[in-house]
Amino acid sequence: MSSLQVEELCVAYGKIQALRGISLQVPSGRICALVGANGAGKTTALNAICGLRPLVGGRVLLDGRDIAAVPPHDRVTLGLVQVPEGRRIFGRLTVAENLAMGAFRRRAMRSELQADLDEVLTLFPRLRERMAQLSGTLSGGEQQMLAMGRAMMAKPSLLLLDEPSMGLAPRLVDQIFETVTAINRLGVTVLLVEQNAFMALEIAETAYVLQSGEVVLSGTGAALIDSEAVQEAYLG
Amino acid sequence: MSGLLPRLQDGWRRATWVDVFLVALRLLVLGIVGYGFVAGLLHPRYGRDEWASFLVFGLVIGAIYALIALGYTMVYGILRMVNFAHGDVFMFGAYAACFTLIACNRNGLLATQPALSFALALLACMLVAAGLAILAERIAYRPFRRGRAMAPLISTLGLSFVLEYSARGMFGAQNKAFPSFPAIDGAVLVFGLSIPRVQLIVMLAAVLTMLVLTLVVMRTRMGTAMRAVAEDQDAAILMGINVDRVIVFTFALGGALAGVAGLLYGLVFKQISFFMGFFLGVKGFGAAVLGGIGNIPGAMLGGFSLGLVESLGPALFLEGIGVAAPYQLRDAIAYTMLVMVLIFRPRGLLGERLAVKRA
Repeated sequence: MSSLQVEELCVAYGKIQALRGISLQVPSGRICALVGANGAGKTTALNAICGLRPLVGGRVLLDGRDIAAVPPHDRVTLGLVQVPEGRRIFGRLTVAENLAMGAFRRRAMRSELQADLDEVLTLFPRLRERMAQLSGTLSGGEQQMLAMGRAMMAKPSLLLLDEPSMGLAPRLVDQIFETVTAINRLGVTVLLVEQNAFMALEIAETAYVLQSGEVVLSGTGAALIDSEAVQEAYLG
Repeated sequence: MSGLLPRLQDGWRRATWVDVFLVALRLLVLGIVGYGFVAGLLHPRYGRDEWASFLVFGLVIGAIYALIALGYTMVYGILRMVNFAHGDVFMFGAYAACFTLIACNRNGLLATQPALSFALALLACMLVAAGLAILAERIAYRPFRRGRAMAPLISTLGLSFVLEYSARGMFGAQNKAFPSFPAIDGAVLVFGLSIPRVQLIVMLAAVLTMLVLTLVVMRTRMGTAMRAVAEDQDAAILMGINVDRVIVFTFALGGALAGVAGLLYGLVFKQISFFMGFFLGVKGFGAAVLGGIGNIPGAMLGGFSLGLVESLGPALFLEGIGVAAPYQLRDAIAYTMLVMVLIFRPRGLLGERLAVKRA
């Protein structure tokens, strides 16, 4: 379990300011939602937290420690793991190989990894029968499960999820959100980025609404569902 | 359902001049090859033994091309960049093997302990070539990675000249004789055919090397990481994979293979020169493109196809056409085939579509 604190985060693409100093608090062991319309800067925020995007200003604190000096691939060993938008599984690798890549940085005993693999496969039973299959041939829902399972193999203490419900059938969306809460119950702090704001706000304890690179609203998930700004942003 | 005739008419109506030209080109090439083939059969000049030796030699030179091609293809698969210094890495591997064997010869090891000498030469050529490849990555590639796509291309080309001419300065401009290996001289009978022992050993060594490479790429943690980085660098970073380290590993692996190719080349041709990296580099690159650049089995297939066409082609169809000195034209055949394959199958034999799936 880790807590995340983002202070006055600024990110720019050339001259265009994508994030204008956003601040977030993700308390340890909670689910926090980051919602907003297309282009509000949600993905940029996650990538900046993971170090894939250089910061123009601001700080990212993991458990109170500034991680600016930690290169992106080493942040995984701190427990900071992202499930990127569009799943980004390795399509030409098998399901088993994808899961193994999730555990790439772990120096654990074979038996321990096997136990974790079993845990992940309990979370996503569908993957068990597809272990030897090339993951590019999985259905969209299965690919999302694989992307989340791969991240879980890294033993995250803080999981960043970028649009896990994107492009999935409603029944699968429900299942994904259930899994997110299940993962959280396993003791993983979750920062959830979603366009599907209402479902995200339902499971989130705290939430932030992002608009044009700024936090325009924050509060508990339940409070935001009823707020005028969210209603306006999403129901028009 | 439309019949054959309307479909042909429809196809004719839609055809552009480019299509017509391509079909004509295809027929022309098929015609020449077919005519040469038939004419050659009518006046057979070569017996079974000659054909067998063409075939075996094609496989041997093809195996060497394949080993070089693998380095090009692996680096391209990960970086979408061609390392033009790769041929010269091969050349340095050959010199490293050569000097090791000369040293072994001087203290008699070559005669008394041929297997040990071979192992030492193998170790030397792989270490030197892998080290040079790592150096190439550091000085000619990494500083330009974030720059324009053209920069690393030019810098590896420059490095290629640096390596070539420093080899000339250090080892001399003339051909250097590769120490002969008494233990692998002579010929062996395989299915009643006499095959030089050295060619058999070279082929065996090359195939073993490729097997080991396949195991490394398909079965090891680092090999899997290589394939992951080739597919999606950012996703690999998010899994905690140090992309720089994987790139260095890839260069080293490709370099080691080129080093092995250098040793095997020296054993077969008995002489090496500072300039051979250029020719063999172009052939290896051609083989990689032929097989579909970025594709590892493709590089192997491309290497062997190029070697076989080059070795069998002159006797198979140039002789029949009545070309005076068909073996002078082996490179012409090899590159004509390369161009033909690229015209009709731009992705190469096993290549995938180049279009990027993700925006």
